[in-house]
Amino acid sequence: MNRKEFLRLTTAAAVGTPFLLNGMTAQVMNNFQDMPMVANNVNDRVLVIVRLAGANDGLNTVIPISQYSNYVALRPNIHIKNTGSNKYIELDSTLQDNQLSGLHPALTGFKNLYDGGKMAVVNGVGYPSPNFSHFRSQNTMFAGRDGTNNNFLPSGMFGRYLAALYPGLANNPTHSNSDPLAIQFGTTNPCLFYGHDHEVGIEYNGTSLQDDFFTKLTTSSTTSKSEYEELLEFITSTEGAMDLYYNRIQDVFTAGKNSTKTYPNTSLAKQLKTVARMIEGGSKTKIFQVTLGGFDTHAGQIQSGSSHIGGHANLTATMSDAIKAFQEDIEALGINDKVLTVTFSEFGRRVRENGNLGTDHGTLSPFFVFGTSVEAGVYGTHPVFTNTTNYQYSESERKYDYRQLFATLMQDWLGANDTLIQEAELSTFATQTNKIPLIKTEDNAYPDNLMGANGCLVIRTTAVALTTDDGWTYYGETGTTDYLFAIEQTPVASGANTNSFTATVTVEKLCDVAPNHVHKIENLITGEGVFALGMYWNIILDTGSTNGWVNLRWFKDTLLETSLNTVATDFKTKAGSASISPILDLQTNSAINLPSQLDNNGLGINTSFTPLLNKESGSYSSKEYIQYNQVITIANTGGVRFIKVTNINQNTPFVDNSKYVKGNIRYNSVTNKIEGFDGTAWRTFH
Amino acid sequence: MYSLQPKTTKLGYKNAYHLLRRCSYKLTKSVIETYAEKTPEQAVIDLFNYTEVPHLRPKNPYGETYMRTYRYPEVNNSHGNAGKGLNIGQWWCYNTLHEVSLQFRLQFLMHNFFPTAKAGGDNWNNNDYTELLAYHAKGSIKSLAIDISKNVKMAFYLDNRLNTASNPNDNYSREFLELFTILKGDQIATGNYTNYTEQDVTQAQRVFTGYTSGINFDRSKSSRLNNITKIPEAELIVGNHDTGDKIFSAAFNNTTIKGGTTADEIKTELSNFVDMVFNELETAKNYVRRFYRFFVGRELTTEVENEIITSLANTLKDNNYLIKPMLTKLLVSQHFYDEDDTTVGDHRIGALVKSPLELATQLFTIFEVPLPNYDTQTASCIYFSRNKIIKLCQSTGMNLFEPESVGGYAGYSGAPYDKNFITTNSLKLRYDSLIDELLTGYTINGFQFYLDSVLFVKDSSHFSAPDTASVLLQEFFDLLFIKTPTGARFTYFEQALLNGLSATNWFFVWDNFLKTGDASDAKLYLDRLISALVKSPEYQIM
Repeated sequence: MNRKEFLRLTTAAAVGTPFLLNGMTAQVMNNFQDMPMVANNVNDRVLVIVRLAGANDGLNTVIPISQYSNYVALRPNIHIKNTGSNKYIELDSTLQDNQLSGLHPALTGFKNLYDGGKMAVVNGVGYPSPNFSHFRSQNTMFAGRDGTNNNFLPSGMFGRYLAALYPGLANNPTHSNSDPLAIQFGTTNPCLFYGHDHEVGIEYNGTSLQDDFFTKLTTSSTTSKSEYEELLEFITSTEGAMDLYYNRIQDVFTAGKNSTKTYPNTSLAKQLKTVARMIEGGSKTKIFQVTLGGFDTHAGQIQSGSSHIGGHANLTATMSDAIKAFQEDIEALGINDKVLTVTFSEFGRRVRENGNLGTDHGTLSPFFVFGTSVEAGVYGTHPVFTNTTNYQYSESERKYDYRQLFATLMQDWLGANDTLIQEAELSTFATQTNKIPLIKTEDNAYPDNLMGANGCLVIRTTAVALTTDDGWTYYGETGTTDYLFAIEQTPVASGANTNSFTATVTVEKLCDVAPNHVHKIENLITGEGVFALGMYWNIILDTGSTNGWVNLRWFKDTLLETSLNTVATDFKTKAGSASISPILDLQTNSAINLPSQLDNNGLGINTSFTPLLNKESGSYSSKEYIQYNQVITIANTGGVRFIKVTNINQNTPFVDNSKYVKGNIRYNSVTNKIEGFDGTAWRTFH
Repeated sequence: MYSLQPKTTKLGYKNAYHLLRRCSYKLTKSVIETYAEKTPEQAVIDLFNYTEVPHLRPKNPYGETYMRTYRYPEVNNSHGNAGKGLNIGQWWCYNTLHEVSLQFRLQFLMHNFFPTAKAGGDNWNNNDYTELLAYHAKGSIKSLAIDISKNVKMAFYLDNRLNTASNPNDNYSREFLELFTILKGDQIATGNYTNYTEQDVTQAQRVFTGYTSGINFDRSKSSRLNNITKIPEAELIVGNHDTGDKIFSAAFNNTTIKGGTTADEIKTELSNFVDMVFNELETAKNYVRRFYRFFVGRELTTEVENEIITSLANTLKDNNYLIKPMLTKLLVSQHFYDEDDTTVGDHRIGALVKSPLELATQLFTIFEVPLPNYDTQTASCIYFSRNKIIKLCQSTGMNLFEPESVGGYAGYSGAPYDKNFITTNSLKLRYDSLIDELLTGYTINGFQFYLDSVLFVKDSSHFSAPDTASVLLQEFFDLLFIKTPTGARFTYFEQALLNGLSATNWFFVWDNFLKTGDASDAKLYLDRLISALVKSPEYQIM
């Protein structure tokens, strides 16, 4: 794929903005080949999936300290101790009670990464209709399903994403795009994650090359071989050359190198070492999957009498040490900006131990995410169980659907826009509410949250009718004369409303603290920016209704308005963008509810908007207002003001209108207007 | 020091398998185990113990014989020309699946020594050619060399049917010397190839004059039948023979062979000529070298030449080119089992690539896939043989009985010999063409060819503890491979079975099958394992 298709970074013009216009996203058009490549370019990012095959026992991996006595009661033989030299590692004493965690003593690597701010623990991951068959559950999760229907799962989440991102490229390398789309190590069985109903060959299985690669990872001495071994080598290398990507994989591996950081001598570590080397060597493969098997610890999970050693301990140690070595290596190589690692387990294991010093199949388990772009911490509280919980957590204890995690990684890390998310069939999970905020803000590829900082409170002011003057009803907070809004209820003119009604107006500010009171999404690379006045109104009719148009006045917060202009202009200068709009006013046809509507979907794709074109300014009682004339509907509507900075105009390639999607915004140099695409046509905003 | 000293101890499993892989297209574990208890001498006696082929006559898709030969003059054909278009290879291949013996490998080797291709091959001539190979594969190469020079198919292939005194054609005589018998040596002067010269080619051409045939002829005429083999051959037109004496070069000690003027004399002349060529030790050596590459290994080091080849060549020559004494000596030798040097088993064992024919036939037989009956389900046999075995051979560098060149198949005729069977293309076909569909099952003319992996494991008696993954794997390795894989390769096959789950999990899967009779889960695992085992570099080796 060329750079053009890559640049799907959304400036999310209306995404999450209060004008929530049919899920408007300002798509960046494909004229940015000359853009300088920023080191932290989202398009180069890689996701590494560490598959813990067999289903990891999450409860012995991350022990919920606050439930320790119940834990011991349910796992008399296999519980990890909380005292003595083999006790759990306390993860973080600053966590709140229901998140306090003890790590399996073998997870020294994880503790190290957590302290370094590079590990996120996502608790209680599962899905609605759990299945206890390895195959079924794996496939359900790979396919992105909820478990209710396990029939006919022809494609996987990442398969759909990659096929939409790189249509036609699977198993079809070109000169400029010669890397496989996804590479799997550690098992020769294809993974449904990368399945697709018609694109074949999204996944390249590198397991057959492991022997060769692993030998070359360290220098090997030549030993004499038997005729059989020589012949075997000859045939094996012919086998390797049988596929289309073989030469490219070899080139990338040969060109790459690891740092001097040592890796343990385990297959998982070597797989990760190979991945690091390939990324360093220039591989553009987007997803690497490595495998550690053996987690199906029905028996021998621990060694009798010593819960800190045994099968599971070996596996967790392997996992922990390998991931830690990998993280160190990629940092030493300077490629850590591009890499995020996540674990995957097809389910957890039963809360209660079985009779064989092990555990049987379960439901919820914690997933782990690693990388320097991770907002380290513990997400979600531990699922709760009592000492009578026999088998599984109850359904209500699930904290996250696994798809929330993967939608987050796909969008916030890999930068998949709404269309790709839709193709991946993860739209429901990629909303602001459902995504997990575990990517650092500055690295978030899809910042759809207009809030600049945490901790701002919504300031909602309910304005009631305070006084009437010259046909205008003025609204403000009870007991004040500070007018916020006004409605001319029955203007004397043809078509105007003649009914009487009473209304309440709410004015909301999401944040009163500069600079967060101007809500913005900026993309320095593309020069696209959206700047919203951090203040919005909603009208509710308490009694009566309208039968014609009314006039509205919205009193300005001059400080906010100045800020808005300044911030927008500053951005335009900095980004060198071509156009900046005047302040645009839009009316939404349903109430704006903050903060939940500050997300991708906004009010939903079927919501229509009305640009408020008939405007004038004025002042009343020494306060400036903006007046909207001839507003036809007011019940349950809201209003926004924003400035759009853009590089896109009507000549920007995509000449065929059908390629625009609802929500695109551009500057029209012929009409000198900013317009938005409503799905059928371009409509001016001012 | 390499040694042809016989190995006198019992073969044991690995050596028995090695011997059988090299000697027979059909193999089963039971046979291997039986042979394991034999000494090499006993084993080779058994392998040579054949007189007839399992199915004596080719049949048409209706199960009827349609070809009259001397031995079988009656046919029960009621479908006219139904057999006419069939490739004889389908019958020949099908026979290879039904008997553990050396005969088929030997017939194929003889075919390699004296290859013909499609020319002049209607079914009857093809059948005669195959019969001739089969006849002499039990006997002497020299006799075959004499008779093949009169074979109708060969007469067409290399134009000897056109070779007359007045219109000489040395195509056949040239190949006879260069590729079929004594072979070219170094060129030491113009027209002098050490072993023979251009003069010899011309003299040979003169010896071969007069034998001719049409494609169709009256096969019942006794004058067209060879006295001994009773197989039809070219007709000798005395008037077309070059009757003068033939004087050969110094390469053949300046021998003069008297020219024949009568039919008997001409036949004696041919016989004398062949004797002359076969009297040269180099002729014997070249046959032995080709036997060696076919049965033992591709590297003819100086040591092998000096210590193995020469000795065997003498044995061959001293026995008038009877195959059995020489080949027996080779197959019972310590050398064949790599027990004649300090490291046992690092040579010879697992040193050759399976030709597509071995790949296919050994696959169907080692897995004991039920096969249709040649007499009652003939169509299934014919089309199976043609579409599965012969087709694979055709597409992977060995177009059965129709080699691309007179030099024979690339896998046997030129360096690096058997490695020529493996290219990126052929390997892919070898992987994709056989096992996966067999595990699913397919039907040909009403017969289902199906490797039921679960029943095979349960009922074949080759698996002592199918529920124990480690034992199951080992027994599969024993069944299919030269050596048990180690390290990453072992893990690869192990995971092909277990797929990341524990051995305990497999235990429950098998146990569940035994209890409920529902094989679907177990089949998933076993099919995956078998597929990986067969589609591997390890399985390409014999």
